[in-house]
Amino acid sequence: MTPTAKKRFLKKLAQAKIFILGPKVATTGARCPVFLDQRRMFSDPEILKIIGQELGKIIQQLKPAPDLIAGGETAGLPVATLVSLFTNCPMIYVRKEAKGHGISNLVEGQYHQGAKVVLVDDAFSFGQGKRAFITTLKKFGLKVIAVAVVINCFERRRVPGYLRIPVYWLVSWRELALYLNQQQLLSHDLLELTLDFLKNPSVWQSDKKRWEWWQRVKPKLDKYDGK
Amino acid sequence: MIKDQLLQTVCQVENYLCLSPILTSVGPIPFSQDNRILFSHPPVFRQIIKALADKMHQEKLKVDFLVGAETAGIPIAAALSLETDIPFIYVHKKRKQKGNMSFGQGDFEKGSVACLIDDVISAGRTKKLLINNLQEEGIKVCDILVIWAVSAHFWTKEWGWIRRNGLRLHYLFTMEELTSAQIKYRGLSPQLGKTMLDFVRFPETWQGNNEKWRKYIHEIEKLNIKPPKFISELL
Repeated sequence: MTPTAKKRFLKKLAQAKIFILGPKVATTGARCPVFLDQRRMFSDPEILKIIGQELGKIIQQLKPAPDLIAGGETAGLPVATLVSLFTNCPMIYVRKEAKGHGISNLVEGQYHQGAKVVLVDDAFSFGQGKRAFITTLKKFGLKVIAVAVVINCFERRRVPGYLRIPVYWLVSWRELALYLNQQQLLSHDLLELTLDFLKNPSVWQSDKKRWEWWQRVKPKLDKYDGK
Repeated sequence: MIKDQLLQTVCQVENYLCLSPILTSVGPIPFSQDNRILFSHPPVFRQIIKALADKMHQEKLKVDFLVGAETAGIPIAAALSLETDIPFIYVHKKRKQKGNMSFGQGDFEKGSVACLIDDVISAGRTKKLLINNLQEEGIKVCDILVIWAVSAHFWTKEWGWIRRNGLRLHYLFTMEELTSAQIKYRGLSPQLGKTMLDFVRFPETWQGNNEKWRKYIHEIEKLNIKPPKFISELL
């Protein structure tokens, strides 16, 4: 992504108001003082276009070239669709659990044993979700060669448990927070707290002092309405 | 004519039509057409999206959002959003228990008007559930758009609520049109075609009807398709 394209994308993400205040429990079960509701970005067709093009470019440069794009249920589905349409690379999707009826399986779509797959999703946080998807795809005879996401929350470069598999992304949470601050859409207090959380997410799970800090700055944070 | 061209394209997708019986939530069905296979064929998928966008234009749909029904409706709605520039959201069957704890995912406002998008409609029970979920989020669904709809009265008789609630249902083709096209373009025998269309029109008469199942199995065995185990237990 060129610096200009990245800036344009960050501007779009800021407009989509995906950065919100916590505390929230993320899908992974982690307690978060600040939170990304990144699904809000899907409602801007311009963002969909950028996702398809830019993530598509990354995937087209991969060597060896993948045979398939796999979307992770559920938020990975729109991302996989866009990338597939921009690259012409066929799409499949992978479920968290089987539906238990119908023509339903853990992996949906057309694929063949031994196919090389790029797993795509909206975001990458701690990697447990991706790890589970990769394990499922592997069971179905598919070889995951890379993970590509729109937002890499903690800028992790590898998938835990599958350290050979690289992670590619368009923007990180840190970049978004810095951009919002630069545009005076995010206070310095909240930026500081966010950067600390992004650096030490596991510490935030149990550190009372840090949550006291959050309580202290919360009144100021309330002024941030995500706009 | 355009419809026939699309049907021809769709029917040429390898493995889209599965002639081997499968077990579903409503019991065994002799053959199936797995729409998710279409997602793995970008050129075909693109034509379907184009046809859906044309349909929306022809039928003058005016909505704030395209809502993808979990799960197969999501790729369709996302691609259609790109084609039409109408914002996209998606809806869960069950409320998300973590994160934003919502049924609806995306950037939407209460009072919005939406079109629910899915791959197929049968009795429409899932559609009803999703429309109720969206209502809880303050979104009013006024249109339902799918690739194809079942034809049997056994299913369509349950559609009364759609009209009663002032909803409009749009689809590209019926299951009967799709199945007839499969028979034509896949060059299936008239005997097999006849039994397939009988299932499409009167699925309820297949329940426990060994004679109909045997006739069907006999026809697919001619194509070297081995029926699954559950069928021999059933007959």
